[in-house]
Amino acid sequence: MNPEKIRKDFPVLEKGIIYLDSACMSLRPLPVINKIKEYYEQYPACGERSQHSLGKKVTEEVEKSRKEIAEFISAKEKEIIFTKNTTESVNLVAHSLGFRPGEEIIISGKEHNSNLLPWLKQKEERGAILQVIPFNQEFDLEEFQKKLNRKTRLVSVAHISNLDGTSIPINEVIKLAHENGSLVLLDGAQAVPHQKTDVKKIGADFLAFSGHKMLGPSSGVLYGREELLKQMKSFIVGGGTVKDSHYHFAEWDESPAKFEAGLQDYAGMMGLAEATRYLKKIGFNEIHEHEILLNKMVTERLSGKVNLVGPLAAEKREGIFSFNIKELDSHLIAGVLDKSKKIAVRSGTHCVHSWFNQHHLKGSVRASFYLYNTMEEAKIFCEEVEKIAQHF
Amino acid sequence: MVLCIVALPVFLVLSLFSVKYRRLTKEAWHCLTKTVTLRKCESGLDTRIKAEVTGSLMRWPKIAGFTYHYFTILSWLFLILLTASFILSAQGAHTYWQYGNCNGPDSTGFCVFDPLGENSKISTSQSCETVEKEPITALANTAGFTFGEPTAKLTIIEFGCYSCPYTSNAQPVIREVLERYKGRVKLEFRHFPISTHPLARESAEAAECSQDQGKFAEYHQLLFAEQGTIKSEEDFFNLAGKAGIDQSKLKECYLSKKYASLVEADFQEGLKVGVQGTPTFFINNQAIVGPKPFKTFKRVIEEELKKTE
Repeated sequence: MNPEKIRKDFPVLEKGIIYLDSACMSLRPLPVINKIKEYYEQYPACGERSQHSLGKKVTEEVEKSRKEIAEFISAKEKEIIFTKNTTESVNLVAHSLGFRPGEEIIISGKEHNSNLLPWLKQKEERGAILQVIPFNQEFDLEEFQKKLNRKTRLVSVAHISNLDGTSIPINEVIKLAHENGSLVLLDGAQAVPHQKTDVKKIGADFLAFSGHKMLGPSSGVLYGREELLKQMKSFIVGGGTVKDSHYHFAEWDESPAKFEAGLQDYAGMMGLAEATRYLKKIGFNEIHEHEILLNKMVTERLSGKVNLVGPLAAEKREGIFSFNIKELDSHLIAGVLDKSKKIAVRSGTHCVHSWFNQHHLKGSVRASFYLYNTMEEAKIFCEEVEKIAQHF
Repeated sequence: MVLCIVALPVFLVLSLFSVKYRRLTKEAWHCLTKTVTLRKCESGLDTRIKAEVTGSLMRWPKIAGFTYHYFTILSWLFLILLTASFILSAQGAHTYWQYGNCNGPDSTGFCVFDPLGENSKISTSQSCETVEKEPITALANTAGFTFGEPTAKLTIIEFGCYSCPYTSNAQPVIREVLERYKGRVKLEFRHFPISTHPLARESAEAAECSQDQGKFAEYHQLLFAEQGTIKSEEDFFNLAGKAGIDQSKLKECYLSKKYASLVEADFQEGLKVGVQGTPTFFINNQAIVGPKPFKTFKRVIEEELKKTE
C-alpha cells in the first residue's frame, strides 16, 4: 500500500492538514465524491417509485449499491437496511425487537452513547433490564458468562471501542450468547472500516455501521438476519414501507423496504457502495497493517511521556491512540495541536461519558489513523505532543 | 473569569466587523455572568482561547509553555492594559469633543481622531516659535477692513489670501463666529497673498479698490465664492458688476496700483508676526492656523472674552 499515492485521491489533504480523526469521520476519496456528483448531475430523481428513465436509473443504481454493500460484509441484499448512521441502526433494533418487562440486555462498559442510550430508553419505557460488563484493558468474559441467563434477550456490544481501539472477543461472546439463546447486535462502526467483516462467519444477528467512517458519505447500514427482520416491526413508517394502505389499516411491505421510510439518501447509498469498492481495491490486510505500523511507532515514541488510555500494545488498540498529558485539559491539547501544525484530533469523552464517569476522568485526546496517514505525519504528531508534554 | 472579561470587549468590537464573533461575544457574556455569580462556565471558551494563543506560540515551545503556565497573570495584565487604554480613549474622545484635540487644549500631540492634527494647530505667542516671531501687538491697529460691530471688545485678525482654497474654506466658520458672537467679537482681515497662488496679490489690491466704493465686504465674499472661476484680471472687473461696484472706477483704481503698497505692508506685517500660511487667525496672543471647526474658535474666544469682559 502506498499512502502517498492514496493521498492524491483526497483533495482536502492538499490543505496541509494532518487528519487524525478518522474514528469520528473519515475523509472521502475522489471516486466517492464523483459518484455522489454523478447522482446529482446525471439522475437526481426518486428511486423505487418513478417510472421515467431517471427514476429507473436511480432504482437500478440503488439495487446495485445494496448488492455491493451486502457482498462487502457477506450478507444477502434483503438483509441490508439503509439508515442515517449507526445510531439509527441501533435504535431501529431497540425499537423493533419489542422488549418486554424483565427482559435483559447486556452491553459492555465501554459503549458509545449510541449503544447505551437506546437500551436505557428500553429500560425506562418498557422495563427492560440493562446489564453492563466491565471493560477496561480487557473485556471481562467471565463476568459476561455469569450475567448471561434465560432472560437475556440481546447482547449489544461494540466490536472495537471508539474510545481506545480495544476489541471484544466477538467469537466467544457470540458463541456464548447464542448458546444461551440470546441475540447479538454488533456495533461495527469502528471495525467495518478497518478490517474484513464477514457476518456469516462471525455469526452476528445484527451489525450496525456507518458509511462516513469508511470513506463514504454520511450514511448508515443495519445488517439483520433475514428471518429476524421478517419478524420485526417497522421503526419509522411512511412512503415505501407499505404494499397498500387504507384509512384504518395498512399492508406492510417486506424487509428491507418496511424499514426504509420515505425518500432515501440515494446519493449516500451509491457513495457508500463506491467507498466499499475503493476499500476492497486497496485491501483490508494492507490497511490494517498500515494502521498498526503507525500506531506502534507513535506508541513507542510517546510511551512514558503521555498517559495512555487502553493497553500498551498497539496491536490491541487497532488504529487508535488515546491519551492524556499530565492534568492538561484534552480540549486544550487538541486546540494547541490544531493551531500549531494543523493536526486534527478528537478530544473529550468521545460520546463514551459513562466510561469516563466511572473512571473519574474528564476525557482524553484521541488520534485515529487510517489509510491516508503517513509515517511523516505520525512523526510530526509525536513531536508536537512531546513539546506539550515537556513545556506545558 | 478574567479571560471572559478580556474576551468580551475584544469580541464585541470584532463582532461589529464580522458576524462570526457575535457567537463568541455571546459566549463570553454568558461565561462572565456565570462566573461572577459563582457558577461554572461550561462553554470551554477559556480553554479554546488558551489553546489558540499557546498553539500560535508553539514555534517557540518554551514561550508557549510559559504563556500556558502564567496565562492567568498575563490575562490580568492584559485586562489592566485594556482598561487603562479604554479609559484613556474615552478621555481622549471627550477632550476631542471639547477642544478638537485628544490631548488637551494646548497640545499639538498626535490625535487618532484628527491624525493630521488639523484641529490642533493653536499656539500661544510665547510657546510657538514656529508661528510667532514678534508679539501680535506689533501689528498696526487699524490697517485692515473690519467685519462685525466696531465696538466689539475682542478682535480676530485674519491673514488670508483670496486665491487660497483654505482661506476660502474657513469663511463659513468665520461668518458663524461673527454671527454667534455679534457685538462681542469682530474680525479684521489682513492680506497675505501667497506668491505661488496665481493672481493672489492682484485680487488683494482689487479688494482694497472695492472699498473706495464702500463695497469691500460684498466684494470680499464674492472673491471667495467665485475663487475657482477667476482666471484673469478681467474677471475682477466682471465680478465688480455682480457686487454693485462701478467697474470702470475699480479698474482705474486697480491699474493705478493704488493699494499695492498697503497689500505689501500687510504681507510684511504677517511675516513679522510669523505667518507661514493662510489662513492664520490671531485672537490676542493665540494663533489658529488653517480652517478649523467652530468649537476651536469658540474655545479660544471664550477664554479671551473672560479676560476682557
